[in-house]
Amino acid sequence: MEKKDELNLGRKPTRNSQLKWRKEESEKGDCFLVFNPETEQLHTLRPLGIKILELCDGNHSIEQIIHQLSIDGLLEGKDAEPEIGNFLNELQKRRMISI
Amino acid sequence: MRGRLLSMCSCREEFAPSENARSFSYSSPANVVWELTGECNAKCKHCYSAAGKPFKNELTTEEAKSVIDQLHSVGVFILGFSGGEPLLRNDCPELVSYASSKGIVVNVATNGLLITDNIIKKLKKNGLRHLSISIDGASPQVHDSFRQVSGLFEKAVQVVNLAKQNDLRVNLGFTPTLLNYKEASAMIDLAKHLGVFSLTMAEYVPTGRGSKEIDLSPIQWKKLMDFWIEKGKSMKNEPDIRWHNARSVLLRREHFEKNITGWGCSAGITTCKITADGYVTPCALLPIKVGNLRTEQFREIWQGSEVFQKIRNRNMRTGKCGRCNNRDVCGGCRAVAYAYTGDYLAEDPRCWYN
Repeated sequence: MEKKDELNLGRKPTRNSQLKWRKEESEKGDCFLVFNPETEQLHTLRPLGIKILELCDGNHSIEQIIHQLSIDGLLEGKDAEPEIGNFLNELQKRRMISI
Repeated sequence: MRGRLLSMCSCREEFAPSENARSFSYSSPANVVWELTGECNAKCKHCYSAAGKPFKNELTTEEAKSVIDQLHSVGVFILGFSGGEPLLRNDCPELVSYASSKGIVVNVATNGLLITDNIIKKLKKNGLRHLSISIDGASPQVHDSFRQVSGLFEKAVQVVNLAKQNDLRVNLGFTPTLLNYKEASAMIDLAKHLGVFSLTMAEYVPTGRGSKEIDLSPIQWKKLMDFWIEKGKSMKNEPDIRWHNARSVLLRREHFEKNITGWGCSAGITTCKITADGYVTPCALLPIKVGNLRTEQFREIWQGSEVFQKIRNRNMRTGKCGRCNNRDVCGGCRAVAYAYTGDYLAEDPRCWYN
């Protein structure tokens, strides 16, 4: 999933239903602490990351997720799509979503 | 964009070493260790609680439930009941049930002596997810001598099997000292043989009943951690090889590249401890009492304690830890610093890094 053309945009990622998260506010910007009971690991996600995680509901394809983020004005630049792909890949490695 | 999406610590540009280190401040801990009782039926040579008899003024069941309510309200994810031996408190299963019902992931750390099939089933039914069993050597000779209870090794192995039969996740807890660190490789073999979910090497801190005489040298710690981490990579989660060590990031340079460095010492940042009599301390191994839950709310203690505020601010570190380029991602173990110097902001005397 490193390159855009390797992204299967039709796949519908599904969030691990066990995930728990909470918002943390700070002067340097908000973040979210995410706990994965399956791996017992703690992660930090930026607001954009949590937005993507929320869209991984099994109903949105990767293409639709990217489209939704664009509509919301959350994506910038031409590297956005492959970066989203890399991010989803990382979430999958950490067993936070399945694709 | 990657830094905007996901990181274990913060985005990379903030991580880069600078004159001003970071100050970590979360609204509440992710993980709370709760020593339910000071009472214990073993006499472990390294016990950080110096457990034996119950405290005179341990929290009642109702007080404990009130504390659980508070932990739930601030968003704590994980609650680990320990002790002493937590199952010496008759209300341990009830408290497991109460915390689990609120969506908190509950673990119990036990020496196994009181575990029966009925108790395992009750804990499981009450929502327990994870049982952590202490084993400090891969043979009865080492473990029983270390814990000063004959037959404890065999019992612990029985409990592992019982827990697995009841679909509980099992973690083995191994605390290396001069008395048993050569067991590390055998412990990994044992964990694999027993089919446990994880094996965790804890940081030995000479506090409570633990003496400095049985501590490893900094170089011995480094070699042990090197071995443990490398072994963990090759095990592919069968079992998951884990460690509690603030300095481990210094041995995992590849994680710097991927910006998954974490916090290093998590005392007062993502974790804290509650004692049997209701005091809050920065971590299980750092016995500085910063407030009591009988007179203060958990949120007030977590957010208002001067000790917590200082410990979260990596600029407050002194000595080598204060000058270190890695203080944002390590910070040195505060419990070890305190155990050796009496100053929780002092340099970590166990650190090998210069």
